[in-house]
Amino acid sequence: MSHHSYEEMILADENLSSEQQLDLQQHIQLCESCSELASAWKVVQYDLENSTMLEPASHFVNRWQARLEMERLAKHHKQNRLMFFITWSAVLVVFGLLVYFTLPVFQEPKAFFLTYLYQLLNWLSVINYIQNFSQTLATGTYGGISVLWFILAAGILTFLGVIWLVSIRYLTSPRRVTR
Amino acid sequence: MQDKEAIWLIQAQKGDAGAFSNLVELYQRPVYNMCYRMLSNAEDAEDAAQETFLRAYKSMKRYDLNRSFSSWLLSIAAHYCIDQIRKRRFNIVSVEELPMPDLPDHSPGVDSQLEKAEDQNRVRGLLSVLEPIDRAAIILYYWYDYSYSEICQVLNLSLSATKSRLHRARRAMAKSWQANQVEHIHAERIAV
Repeated sequence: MSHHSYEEMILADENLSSEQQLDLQQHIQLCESCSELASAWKVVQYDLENSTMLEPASHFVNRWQARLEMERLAKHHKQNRLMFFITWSAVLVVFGLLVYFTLPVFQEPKAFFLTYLYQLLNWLSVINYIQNFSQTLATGTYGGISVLWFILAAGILTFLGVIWLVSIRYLTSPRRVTR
Repeated sequence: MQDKEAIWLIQAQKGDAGAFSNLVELYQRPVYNMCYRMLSNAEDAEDAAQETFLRAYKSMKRYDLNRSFSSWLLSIAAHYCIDQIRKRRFNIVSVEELPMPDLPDHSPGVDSQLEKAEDQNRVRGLLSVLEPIDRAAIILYYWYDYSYSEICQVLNLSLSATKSRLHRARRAMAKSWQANQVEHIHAERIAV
């Protein structure tokens, strides 16, 4: 048997057969290196097997809860900063676009105003058309819808609005740790 | 207790911080012990244990209820500590230079406390010669009585790798102890 195999037998954690034990004992008596390893391992093994499990300082759970709360607040602040950044980016983009589109006004104000006046009149005619169409539609269907349906529709819209407000409030407020 | 734990686990998976706090209370000792044995420092161990529970809380939804919760926690703790030790290597500090651990000891008597502190220090020295993964394997084997297959699961190793790492670690610790003894004898001779 090789020297390495004896080393493995010394450091093995499973029980050796009586033959193996005898063989190992004979080798240990002859081999100084293995003898030293065996006695060293015996001490180390004793230390490892008799070492107790350590406990953290008291109130560990309280400290953990405080840390969790801090993490949550940090996350909330991060979200706020992100929202602030997005909002201001959007404002800057809109402002940039506004500057870009209003630049011609300062260069050629007359032509610009005439063009936009024409477009405005076009839009007014479209709005007028929609208004006429809606009036015709309302006149045709108004008689069929009762006041109760209008109240119900208004109620549903209000309820949805409240849900929306509560959801926004719930999603943006930091949660608390409860025990 | 197991029934309660199962209920807390289900509640914690639904995001109940209170239920998770109960789990922290239950598992603080094994997690802290793992972190302390890995990092050899009370302050770092406290920080690592807190971080382990935070990471576990954040990934509770991914936890498989059929798996042992303690194994899952110890796996998070071991991997976090392994990363910390690897980061530490950029500024190498010897065991002697590390601050003395602030070990909570409830036994009466100064002699007993000193003896315990000496024992802990000796174990700390033995573990410090090991590679982080080998150290984690030894800790799981000797402090938690984990089987080879459980160590494989916790450390994501194959069975042969686990066996070989444990063998290598035992050999390294025995050799380190031998070397310390030789040094000790040499120092005594010089003193005489």
